Amino acid sequence: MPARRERVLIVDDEEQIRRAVGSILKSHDYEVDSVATGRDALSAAANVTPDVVILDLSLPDMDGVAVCTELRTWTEVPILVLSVRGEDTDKVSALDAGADDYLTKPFSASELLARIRALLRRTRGLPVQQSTLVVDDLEIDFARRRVCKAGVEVSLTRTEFDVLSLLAGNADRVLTSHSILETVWGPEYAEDRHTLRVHVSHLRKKIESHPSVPRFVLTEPGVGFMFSTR
Amino acid sequence: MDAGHGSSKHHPSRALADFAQRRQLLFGVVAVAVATLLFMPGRAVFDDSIFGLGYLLVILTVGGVAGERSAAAAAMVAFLAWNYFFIPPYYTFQIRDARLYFTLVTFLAVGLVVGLRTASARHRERDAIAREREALILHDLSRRLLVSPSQEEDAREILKVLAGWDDAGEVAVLLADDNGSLRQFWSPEPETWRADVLAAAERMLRGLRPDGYDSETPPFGADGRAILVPLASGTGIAGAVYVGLASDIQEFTPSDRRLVSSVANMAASHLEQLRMAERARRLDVLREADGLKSAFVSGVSHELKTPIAASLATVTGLLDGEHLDEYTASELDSVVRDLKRLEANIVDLIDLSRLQTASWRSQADRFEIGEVIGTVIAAFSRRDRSRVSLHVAEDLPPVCIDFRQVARALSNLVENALAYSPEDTDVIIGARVLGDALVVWVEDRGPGVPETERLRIFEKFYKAGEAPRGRVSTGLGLAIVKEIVVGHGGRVWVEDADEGGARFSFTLPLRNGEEGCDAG
Repeated sequence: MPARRERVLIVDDEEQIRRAVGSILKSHDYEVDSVATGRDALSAAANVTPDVVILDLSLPDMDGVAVCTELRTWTEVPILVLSVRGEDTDKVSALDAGADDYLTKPFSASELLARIRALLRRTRGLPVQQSTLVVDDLEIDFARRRVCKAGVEVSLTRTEFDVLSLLAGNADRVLTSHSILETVWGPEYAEDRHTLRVHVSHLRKKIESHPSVPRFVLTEPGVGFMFSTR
Repeated sequence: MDAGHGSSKHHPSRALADFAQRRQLLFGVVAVAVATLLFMPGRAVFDDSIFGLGYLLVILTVGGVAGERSAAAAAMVAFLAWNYFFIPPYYTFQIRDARLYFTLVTFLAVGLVVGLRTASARHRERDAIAREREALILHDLSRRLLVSPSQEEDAREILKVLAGWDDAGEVAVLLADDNGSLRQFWSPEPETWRADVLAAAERMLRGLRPDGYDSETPPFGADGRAILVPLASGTGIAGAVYVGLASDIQEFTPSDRRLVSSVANMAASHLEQLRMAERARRLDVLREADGLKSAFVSGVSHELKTPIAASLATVTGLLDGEHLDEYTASELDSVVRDLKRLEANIVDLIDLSRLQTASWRSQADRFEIGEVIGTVIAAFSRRDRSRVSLHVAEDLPPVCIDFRQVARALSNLVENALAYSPEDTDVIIGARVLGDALVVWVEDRGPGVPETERLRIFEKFYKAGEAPRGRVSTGLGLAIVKEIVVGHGGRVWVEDADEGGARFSFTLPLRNGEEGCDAG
């Protein structure tokens, strides 16, 4: 018996986007439901129990961020936010409200599919994190908490490793400063961006090839940081 | 004697002042003469000492009516007249009784003291009346200005207040407009064009002379028949107030001048308030227009980008699927390229339009330029990245920048450098401190930019030479770079790199304490 097909709920008020995203997903064997408003999204999320929600932030009836918050009160379904370039504050609020990732329009089919696969992997209980991650000359061993740069072990402080492991464990995904601080330092430090910057700066000095031009730990202005494997 | 047309050696105003003084003296003399005539019939009846008391009464009255000079003159003349007409022997200044000398000298002293005292009491009284009048007029003016919505209305209120004043004949308010020319408000409308008033006000406005006079023309209003004062506030002169003398009044007094000056000062500060409010209102309108433009731009941007996003997703979806023959696949590939180019061009146009609205204020924060360079490089493909080499100095001070904007500028430069140079050559990104600025540069080993094009290359829609194959340029990339750099207070230029090729450089100021960035 074939495995249950994964259901994706598309929430976008633009019919063109719903159709395009829908046809890509259908051709890759996903089951697709699409709605145009926030209210419909909330009821559809309850009725069809999707495996992933693709959520556009600009909806006619309610704020996309509010939809995120509402969904998070009762479901852990992965949310992929679609945003338009330049609307960073919305994006950050959505991520802080519980969205898992975002994709900036326009995007290619392969980008979309890659993000969805990554989100599904996490919820399906598949090993989210490999035990080691190798990018160029950097090797991170998550279990042993060891980092090697060009074959030489790098000594990181406990906090530096926690930050690196959180970022690398979510490689190629932007994490908001808020969420990094909350996870590594605790909720009471969630707004202390300066502390995070200082630690990221130290971390970069130890793992980057060029001391002042990061290649791994990239800054996403106004949002947070991203570990890049590209 | 008419001093105005009198001896040309005399300054007219001086002559007038002399005339006024002489008139006062004359008044004292005439008053005593009249009193003497009246006293004459009594000479046979009364004791001669009684006339001294009579003269004292005259001196007192003269002092109260005409001031110190008249009183002093009256005292002197009365002293002589009493002696001459009423102390025997009559019609001589001789005195038989030596004790009468003492009486006469005492009379002179008492006469002078009494005359001067009543005169000064009269001054104080007049002064008090003038101040009360001033207070009333200023109160009236302040009440009127409080509800006045415009400069024109201010001018009319000043006219009303000053025209209601008995001493004033014609009154004018002259307001400077934005071009520096004067708008006139008169009450009543003058029968002839008052070029003299205008010329004096203009001199005042241009700051040639604070009082509006110059050395060639006689002091305007110095004859006491006109007052011209500037409407001066802290930020400059907004115009002038002119008051001509009413036909039935002799001349303006210093307290009249003080009154007009007070009126002008109060009006000037209200005009200043109005100007500030007007400026604030204009800024609001501009801001609103900018807001509308931004809203329009994002609306258009959304309308344009949505179909592109949808098409791109669809076409890449098709490419992803199987069963495509090679021809179809390559055609779809070129559709994808075109769509991406179209999207990039729309983004360029929209960005440029946003950068050019005044409402664009960078979201500045403190960053290290290396972070920007890292993020910019990460967006290029691995193959492109392998061509990039870094000449970024270590430990550069952080700069206060809008990260995204600067990243966009740098990205445009790197993209150009990659596209306009051979694929087997390096593109260098560098950064260092130069004076009080950070210099960032992007260098390639391409053909370089001819000197004649080095300025125009940053203009909108200007395209230098042939675009490389497979690349359609909107001619906006470098214009965007320039807008962003200039918006950050820096400059951008292109020169020959030492080893050939082009080197594009831009500066970012390293000053502390900009808006949005803490000093740390």
